[in-house]
Amino acid sequence: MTTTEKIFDYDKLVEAYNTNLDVTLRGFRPAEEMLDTWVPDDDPVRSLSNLVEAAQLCGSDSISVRVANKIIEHQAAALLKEKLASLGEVGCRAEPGAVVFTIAHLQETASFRSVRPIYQQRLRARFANLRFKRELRVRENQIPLRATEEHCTLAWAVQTDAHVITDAVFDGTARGPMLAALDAFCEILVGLPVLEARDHAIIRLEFSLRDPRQRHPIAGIVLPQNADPLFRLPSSLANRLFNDYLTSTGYRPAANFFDPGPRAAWAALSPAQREARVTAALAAHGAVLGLKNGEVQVVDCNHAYAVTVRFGDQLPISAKRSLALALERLVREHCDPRLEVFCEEKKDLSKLRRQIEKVN
Amino acid sequence: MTEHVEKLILDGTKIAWHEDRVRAWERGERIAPITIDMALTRACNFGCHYCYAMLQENDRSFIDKQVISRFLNDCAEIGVKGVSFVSDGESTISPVFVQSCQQGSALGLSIACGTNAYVLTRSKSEEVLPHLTYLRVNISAGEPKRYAEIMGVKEEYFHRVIENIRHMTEIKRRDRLGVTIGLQMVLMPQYADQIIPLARLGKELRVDYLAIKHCSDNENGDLGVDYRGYSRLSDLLHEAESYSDSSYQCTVKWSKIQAQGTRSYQRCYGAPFLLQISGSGLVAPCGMLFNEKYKKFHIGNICEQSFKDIWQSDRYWEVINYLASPEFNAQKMCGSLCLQHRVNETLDNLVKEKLELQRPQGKEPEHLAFV
Repeated sequence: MTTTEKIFDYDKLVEAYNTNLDVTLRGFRPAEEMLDTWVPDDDPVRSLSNLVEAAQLCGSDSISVRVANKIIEHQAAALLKEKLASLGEVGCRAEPGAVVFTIAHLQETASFRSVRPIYQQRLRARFANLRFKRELRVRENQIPLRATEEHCTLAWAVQTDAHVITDAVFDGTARGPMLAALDAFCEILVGLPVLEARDHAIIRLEFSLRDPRQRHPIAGIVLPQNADPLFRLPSSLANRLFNDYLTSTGYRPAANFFDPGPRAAWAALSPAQREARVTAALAAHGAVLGLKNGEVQVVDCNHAYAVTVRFGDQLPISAKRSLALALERLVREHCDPRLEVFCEEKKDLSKLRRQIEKVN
Repeated sequence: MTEHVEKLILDGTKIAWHEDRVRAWERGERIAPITIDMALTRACNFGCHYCYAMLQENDRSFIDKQVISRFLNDCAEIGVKGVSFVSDGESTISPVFVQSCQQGSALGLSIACGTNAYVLTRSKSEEVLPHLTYLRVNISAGEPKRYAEIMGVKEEYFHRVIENIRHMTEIKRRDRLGVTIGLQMVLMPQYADQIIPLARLGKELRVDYLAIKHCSDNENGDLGVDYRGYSRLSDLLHEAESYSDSSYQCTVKWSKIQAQGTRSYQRCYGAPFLLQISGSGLVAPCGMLFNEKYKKFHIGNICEQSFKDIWQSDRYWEVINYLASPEFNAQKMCGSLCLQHRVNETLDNLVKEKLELQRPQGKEPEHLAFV
């Protein structure tokens, strides 16, 4: 963490601002020039995040602010930290009766603010560790292809017998968010058939960059096309590479039936082992979903791709509906990413139709 | 091909004529469905062997007069264009059937019905036909004995249904009603002997059309549909189509039959345009997901909550977005050839930028409210 030379005292800044407001008619400025656009607010979280944003806009790369404990209560401190994290890297140091917040890397973070907040956190994390901005690795029976647009290049190597991408890299002079997106995109591309890459890599990228704690700002259907302009370039580059691959090889793909399926290690487990793993995951993490003991029971894991569960009768139907989807996300995170969660099948109540079912 | 035939799209989608709603969807707006396919009850007085409803059981609630009235008002308010009473039960045996047709029509909605037509007697047809855009009779045989075998009823039922259809066509002609009256054969390969008798029967009854379609099955193949068996029926199906004339259209849904139960796409984008509601009141994106097994897809129930509230809820859009995300794969997680299939194909190509959506030129087809 970068430290700043000067620590601003929040109380004093507010006091100076208000005094200045009282005596200045024209040419009003806050006490500190680097906080030119800052206006204090009664809500300390808003006020402090505006203050850091003002420093960012003035070109500062870091700022430290001392905030008295009386200003900010415990709950608000957590909220403040979260807010400030969207502006830079946050560090806190306790002092007697106060906390000093240091927010660093403000300029680097500013470039990510052009992207919707729901993608910023993962893009920033990715940007800190780019892994695919390097030379393309090409072996025998692989075709290297390269496409450039808007000063960014995406390249991939394809194993021509299976039409599978064996490596993908990028290069360019774009700003942080695009470089981070292309890096994440390359990771998704490696191992995909070219047809799957053209068809679905971009929706996988959009989905992978979402911060699950945030609500998506798109009210209706979320598509890469409406989610953020960030996704246009990777999509266009992948389309161009795909078309180049068709031209180079004469490959004419039929329908795309690619599905990664459950991981081999998961599929190799016995149903009982899978059941034990899922049960353990629910026991360990079910509380996150508000699940109490006995409210959900794993009924079977006979198929490698499926988990059948039973909800306790005490749960209302609406809760069961939401929980079923949330449970699926939980077991995908902790057991296997292709697992599907089902409830127990309900048999037809119609006697007439049930007779027919027996015949079938 | 005659003008009459061109007007009815029986094997395709009309989504391109709803360009404004597709554009709004692309912008991420919360669009209302164009069409809702629903039933007024889960119950049925028939026991058809191909019945998908066997696989759709869910917690039942009762759609009464108040529930359906609120629902239809909501539909009209939010911009739904058509409601078809088809789905997973025989809506004509619901006590609210006639009222629902009349009220929906009065609200400006296009109303349609798929039925076995057994209880649609002359007097009932007199009450509902003026309010319907189309009425489709599910009939998978043209001869009484086979009808009884395939549809799980007594032979007498066949004669009653045929009489009812005759009344319908008479009323339509007498009152010059705009309603389209058609027949639909759900074809399993083992019903091949009934293709031509039914094509002839349709012509004799002077209905507007006979549509011959594939049978849907779930992802486990529980109904045992032999999709490869359809390819042997090609000649018979072409012969059936030759019964078409200037006022009778016999159409085979080739696109679905030839797909052999497969899908070219993995995401389901069609549900927010064409939503389904079970006869239990359950709102789900697709009828194939009605069973309790698929609770994760269940959005709400119109017997518990107004449809407008359900449609506006985050839960609705959470499920719709799940279907459009990499979390979902329709090729693996769905039954075969669903109601949204053709809409899905079109929208998938649109999202993949394989086609550009343009409102088609020329005269609009009939039944535009049913995509």
